[in-house]
Amino acid sequence: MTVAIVGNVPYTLNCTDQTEIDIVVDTSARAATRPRRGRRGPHLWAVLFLLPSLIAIVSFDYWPLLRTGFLSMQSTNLFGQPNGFVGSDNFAAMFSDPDFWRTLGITVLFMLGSVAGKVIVGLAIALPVSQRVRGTGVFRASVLIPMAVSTAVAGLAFRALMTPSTGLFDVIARALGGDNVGWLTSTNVSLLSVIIVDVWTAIGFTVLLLLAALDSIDKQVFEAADVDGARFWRRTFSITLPLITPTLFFVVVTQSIQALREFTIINVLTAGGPADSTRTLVIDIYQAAFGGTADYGASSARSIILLVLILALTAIQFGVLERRVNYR
Amino acid sequence: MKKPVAHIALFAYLAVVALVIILPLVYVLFGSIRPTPAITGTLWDLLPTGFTWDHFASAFNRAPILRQMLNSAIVVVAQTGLQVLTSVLAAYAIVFGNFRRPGLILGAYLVTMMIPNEATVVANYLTIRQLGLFDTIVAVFMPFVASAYSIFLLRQTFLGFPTEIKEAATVDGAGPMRFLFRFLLPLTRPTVMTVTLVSAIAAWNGYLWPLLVTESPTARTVQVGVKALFDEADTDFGAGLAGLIVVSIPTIILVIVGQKFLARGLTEGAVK
Repeated sequence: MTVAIVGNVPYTLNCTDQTEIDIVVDTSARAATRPRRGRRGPHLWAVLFLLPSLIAIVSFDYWPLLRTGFLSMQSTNLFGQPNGFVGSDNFAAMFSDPDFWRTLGITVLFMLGSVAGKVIVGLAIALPVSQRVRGTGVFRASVLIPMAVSTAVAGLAFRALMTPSTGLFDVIARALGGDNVGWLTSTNVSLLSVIIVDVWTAIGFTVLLLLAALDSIDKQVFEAADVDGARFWRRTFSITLPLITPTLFFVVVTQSIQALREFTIINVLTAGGPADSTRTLVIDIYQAAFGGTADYGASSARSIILLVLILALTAIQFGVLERRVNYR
Repeated sequence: MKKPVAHIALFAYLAVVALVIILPLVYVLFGSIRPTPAITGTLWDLLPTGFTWDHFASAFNRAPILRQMLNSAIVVVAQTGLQVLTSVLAAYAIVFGNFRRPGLILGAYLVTMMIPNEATVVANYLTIRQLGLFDTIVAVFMPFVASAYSIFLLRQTFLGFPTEIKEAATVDGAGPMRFLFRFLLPLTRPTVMTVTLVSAIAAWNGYLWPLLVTESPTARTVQVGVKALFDEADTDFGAGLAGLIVVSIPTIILVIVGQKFLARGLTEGAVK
C-alpha cells in the first residue's frame, strides 16, 4: 500500500490525544519507513476504496436519473431513437391523456388497498403470536415462508390458484355455493386479486417487524392493565397499538413506497389487464417503453412522476423517523 | 390467556392462519407431483393424490431450466461478491478514512436509495444497449455492483468497532488492508453475513431488470425463465408448477439456513 507522506513531523505536532502520541513514540523506528497519515486530509487508500462503489452509483443511479430527465423532454422516433428536444410536450400529452389519470387512480387504489391489507393482516397475526403462549414459536417460523419464495414465483403460484374455474379459489367459491369469481378476468376483481398477492408476499416482513415492536413493549405496562381488568380488545386499542405507532408508521410508509414500485406481481398475474384494470404507473412506464411502441419520452415523463411520488413519501418517512427518535 | 378455552381458540386460529399462509406453496407442490391432470379442479387439489416425476421431466424438456439456474447462480455470485466487496471497502473508508465530512459521503450513497430502479430502467436499458451488453449475463448484475443499503449497514457496525483494538492493531504495524481483513471483518462477521445473504436473495429474485436486458432463453435468469415456462406450458400445467418448485429450492434453503441473519438485516434496516 503506497500512501503519500505528508511531511515528517505534523503527525506528532497536531496530535492532542495522549495515546496517539504514545504510538508514535513506541514505533518511531518503524514509523519512519511506514506510510504516514496526514492529519488534515483523507488517506489516499480511503479515496481509492470509495472509487468502485462511487463509479457504480454515478453510472447506474445518478447518470440514469439525469438521463431520464433529458429523455422526458425529447421525442422518440419509431426505432426508439431520441429525435429532438420537445420541452414539456411529453408532460402536456401525458396530463391531457385520460388514460394516464386512470392509471394514477389505479396506482393509488392499489397502494391504499395493499397497505391497509398488510397492516390489518400483519396485526391479525402478530398480536396473537406476541401473547407468548407455548407453541407459537413453531408458528413464527411459518411466517417466514412467504419470504423464502421470490415475488415472481409467488405471483405464478397465485396465478395457478386463480385460474378461471379450475383454480382452487374458484373451486372453493363454488363449494361455498357461489359462482366462478373471475379473479384475473373480471375488471371488478382483478385489482383486489393483485392486492391479495401483494399482501401475501409481505406477510413475513410485516409480521416480523410488528412482532419485534410488540416484544419490546415493557411487560409491566400489561401487568398494570391486568390489575385494572382491561379486556383484550380494550387493551389492544388503548395500550398496545399506541405504543407501537412508530413501527406502524414505518410499515405504512415503506409499504406505500413498495406498492408504488411493484412490478413483478402485476406483470406475472395480469400484465396490467384485463382492459388495463390493473395498469399501475410502473406497468405504464414499462408498456410505454417496451410494450411494442418504444416511446422512451412518454415512459420517462411517467418515470419522473413516479420519482416525485416516491421522494414525497421518503420525505414523510424521514419526518416520521425524526419524531420517532424524539420519543426515546 | 390462562383459560384453556381461550388457549385452544388461539391455537385453532393460528393453525388456520398458518395453513392459509402456506397454501399457495402446498398447492403448487402437490400439483407438481400429481399424475396428469396436475390440477383436477376439485377440492382434492388440496391433498397429495398420487405421485409422479413426469412434470419435472417435462419442465426440464420444455425450457433450459438448468442453464437458466446456472445463469442465476452466476448473477448471484458476481452481484453479491462485487456488492459485498465494494460495500466493505466504501464503509471502511467512510469510517476509518479520516475524511473531514464522512456524513456527506454516506449521504451521496443514501440518496440512491430514494431513486427507485423502476424509474431509471429506461435510461439504464439504453446504457446497456450502448455498451453492447444487451442479452448478456453481465448486463443483469452490472447496475447492482454497489448497494447503499449494504454500505449503510456495514458502516453502522464499523462505527461500533472498539477503538482499543484499532489502536492495538496500529501499534502492531497493521496497514489499512491488514487491519480490514485480519481484524475488522472477522470481528464484524454477523453483519457481513447479513449483507451477503440479503444481496444474494435479492440477486436470485431479480425480475424486472433481467426481463428487460435479456431475450434469448439461454441468457435468461431463472425467474424470467419460469414465467416464460408458465406462459408456454398452458396445456401442460404440471410442468409450470414443477418449474416453480425447482426455482424456489435455493432460496428456501437460504432462508432456513440464514433465518437469524435475515431477521437482523430486516430490523436493522428498519431502525435506520
